[in-house]
Amino acid sequence: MINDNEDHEPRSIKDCRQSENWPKWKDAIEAELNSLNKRKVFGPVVRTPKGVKPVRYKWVFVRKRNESGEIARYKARLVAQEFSQ
Amino acid sequence: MMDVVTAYLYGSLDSDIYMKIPEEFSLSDANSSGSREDYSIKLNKYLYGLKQSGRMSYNRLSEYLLKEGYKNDSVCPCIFLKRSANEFAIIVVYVDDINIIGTPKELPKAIDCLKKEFEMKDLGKTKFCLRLEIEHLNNGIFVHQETYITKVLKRFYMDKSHPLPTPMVVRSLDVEKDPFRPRE
Repeated sequence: MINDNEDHEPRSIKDCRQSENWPKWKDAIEAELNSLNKRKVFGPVVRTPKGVKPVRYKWVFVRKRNESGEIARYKARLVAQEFSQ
Repeated sequence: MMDVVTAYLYGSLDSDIYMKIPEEFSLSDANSSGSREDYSIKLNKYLYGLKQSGRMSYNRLSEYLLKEGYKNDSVCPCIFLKRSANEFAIIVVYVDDINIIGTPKELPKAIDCLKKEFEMKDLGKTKFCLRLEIEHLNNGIFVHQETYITKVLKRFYMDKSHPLPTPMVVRSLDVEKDPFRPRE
């Protein structure tokens, strides 16, 4: 028998909102957005040009653990999802 | 070991990439006509997940290190080497983790060289690398996987089991005493 009760990482913002640790996830999301803004990753918001299909995005949530397996940090990362056509 | 903070964001884009607007992103009034779906956000830099991201951040790092006098060859593209008469430094890159090995004089130079160009966190002596745990002891370096094994034991309800020693062939690391050593 396999013990799969180990709680999983949230897979979406919705999961995070329902988690008891929502404040920690919220901070992580804000930290990631601030970091991306600070590095000027985002350009202007524009009307999507004709014929352009914008890439989708996804949030990835991880709890970083230390050597003893305790949760050391909540981390959120915004990733682009590019699919080959 | 050093960790590159947001490594992928260092490369500049060579083509136009538009992304759907993240829901947490507030739109300014200028863009409020029409539905949110009609708009997208233009990216200035690479983001995790784009196909070119890994390649571009590697190019950025390797160009810089080659300029700084490091040598690198296509057999081991992730290893950068700098050598002088008595000193050396080796920089090993694994995605956004960097391990640096070097003589006492060259090591801090290599660290400074990377810090000068990229935002990095110096994690000190490597404790974890590719799931291996590394402990720096007085009489050597101890490599093991305790954290991983404990996790596997828990997964199979074996963590409360009674531990028993397993006999194993004991072999000296001293080449002269090794009965299996290659003979001339």
